[in-house]
Amino acid sequence: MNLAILVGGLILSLVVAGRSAVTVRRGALVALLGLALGAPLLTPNPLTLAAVAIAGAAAVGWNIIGGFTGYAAFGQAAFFGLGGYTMAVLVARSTGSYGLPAGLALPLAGLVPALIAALIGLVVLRLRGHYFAIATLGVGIAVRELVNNVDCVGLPSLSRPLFCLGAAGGIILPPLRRSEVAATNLTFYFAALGLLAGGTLALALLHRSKFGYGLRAIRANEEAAAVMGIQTTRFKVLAFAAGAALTGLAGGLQVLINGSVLPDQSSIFDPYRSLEVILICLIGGVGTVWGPLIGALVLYAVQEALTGLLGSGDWRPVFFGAFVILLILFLPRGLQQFTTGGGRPTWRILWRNLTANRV
Amino acid sequence: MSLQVVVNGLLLGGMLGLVGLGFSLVWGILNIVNLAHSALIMGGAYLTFYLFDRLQLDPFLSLPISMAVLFAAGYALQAGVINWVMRAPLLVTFVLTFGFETLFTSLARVLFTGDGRAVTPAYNAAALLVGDTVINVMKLGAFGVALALTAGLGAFMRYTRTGNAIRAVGMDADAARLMGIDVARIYALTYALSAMVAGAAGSLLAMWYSFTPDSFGIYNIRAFAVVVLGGLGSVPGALLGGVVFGLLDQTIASATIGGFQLGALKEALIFLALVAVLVVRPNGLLGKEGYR
Repeated sequence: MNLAILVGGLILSLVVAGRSAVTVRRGALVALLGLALGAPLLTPNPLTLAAVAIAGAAAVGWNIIGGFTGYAAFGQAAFFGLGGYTMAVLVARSTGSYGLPAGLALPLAGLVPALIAALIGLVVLRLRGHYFAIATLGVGIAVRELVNNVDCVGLPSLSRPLFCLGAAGGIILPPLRRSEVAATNLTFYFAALGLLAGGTLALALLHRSKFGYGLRAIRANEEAAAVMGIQTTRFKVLAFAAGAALTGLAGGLQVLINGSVLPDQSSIFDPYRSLEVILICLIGGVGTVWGPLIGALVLYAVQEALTGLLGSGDWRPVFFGAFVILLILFLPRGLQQFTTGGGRPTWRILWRNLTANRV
Repeated sequence: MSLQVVVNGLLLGGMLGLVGLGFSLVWGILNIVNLAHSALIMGGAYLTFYLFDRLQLDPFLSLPISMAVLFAAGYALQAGVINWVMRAPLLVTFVLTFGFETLFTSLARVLFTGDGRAVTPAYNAAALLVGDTVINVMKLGAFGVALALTAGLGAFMRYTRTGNAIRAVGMDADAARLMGIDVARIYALTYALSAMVAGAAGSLLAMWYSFTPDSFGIYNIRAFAVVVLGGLGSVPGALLGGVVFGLLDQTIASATIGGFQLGALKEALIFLALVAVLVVRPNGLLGKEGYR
């Protein structure tokens, strides 16, 4: 059932992003929203769909810095994790946490990663190309390791710590009552959906704003952009922070769903997250408005189908790796090549993609 | 810093230099940050393990085998696949090599299982005692091999026609093509050499640590650190970077501040140092463009 919803959503989003007549696209958009709102009625567990929306929203964050600005950041997992930890510290009721309601805490789960990203960005955004990519990869690892080793932080003059991250033990959120679970799952789904919808809307606004044009000018040619009067450093840092904010919000939501944070590899700082957001944008189209949504739908539909075929066993990442390789060889610009590029999907286009960059 | 820390750092540094050497070669000549490098190292490690486990072949004797196998595999990978995306933007080659890393690592998880493996020949624990400094004989041997391979590759690049062709392609692929060099073949050869060195590093690391398919991902970051510290595009630089990294690593691992083990933050601290270096010298400490 989930697979059917994902594929249906994918077809509708492809129409919305495509070049059909305006009325058709509007109709598809309405249908897409209808499907998204009605999906919880069709599926036994809306949380699996919430995961898709969270991944999509995190990818929107990457798209701002990696897609629009052209700085291939490989450490987005750090901001996902920081958003998650911020949320946990604010919501939990143990020592060194604040017991706030989740709704109040959520904006801060975007703000804190954004501030940290701005600080990191001032340094790493001076690097370019491979060096920037690997520096951000390192930031991802370093942040995880730091959080993994910090228990409580405070000032000597205060009686209680400012915040506690629980070191390797992580933070456990207060459990839900059994009666709350179903309603809460629904809330989570709509919150994730809202985040993805809001993120996509933000991308659409960014796409036609002066700020967005500035970012794309930097991507095209940074020196030329600077000469044209764009303050490249400020633009880049803002883009990096904005991307971190969205990814952080997604992480904060993920932690509410998980009910705990652990700094462990397999948890909130999972380095795979850094690559997932890139992959999603690559599938849908790097630097496009609809790319993250389309990419998330494709990626999770493929995973859902693979799980159906192979179970959740060890073979899944094997096929996943093969999928990535085939995608990058045959469709390096993602599905946008068929939506905005105007061409029909034919074998010939795939062949031309493959041979275009051959040495 | 005790003498023991220095010795450990040097031994580890020689190994890390070897890890970084192949990475530096592909980056310098092909302009690809090869995320599949760790998977190639893994290949060497498992070859050595199975040759030792099934055929009781001494790990040092399995070195040439794993080098030959990885050379062939690397050539096939570059000629068959990566050559098709050589003109594509950075993100494409980055994600492609990531795809190979995922594919190989997950395949290894299926085929070799996630069980910890170790290569333990009889002389495994033999050690020299110099004063009160302990030097593990096997690690010393691995260090010697690492030095020899580094010197050998440096000589190959400098004194053979093929080596010079590789360097020429690294400086300017178009000009090299005009001089009659088959650039696609040189790319394949360069990747094959890099894979060969990675295979050797894997075989040696198999003696050093016990491992699972997931133990190797960290070597991409380490290789990168080595290249940045030593400078992209220099064979001796890779060795220097490895030694600097090794000493840094061992110093941090053995240090405590107010009872707190700094080793827990090792990767973060090394990376902070690295980013600092990058910001001051964006092309590395001894860095220049291309491979010399």
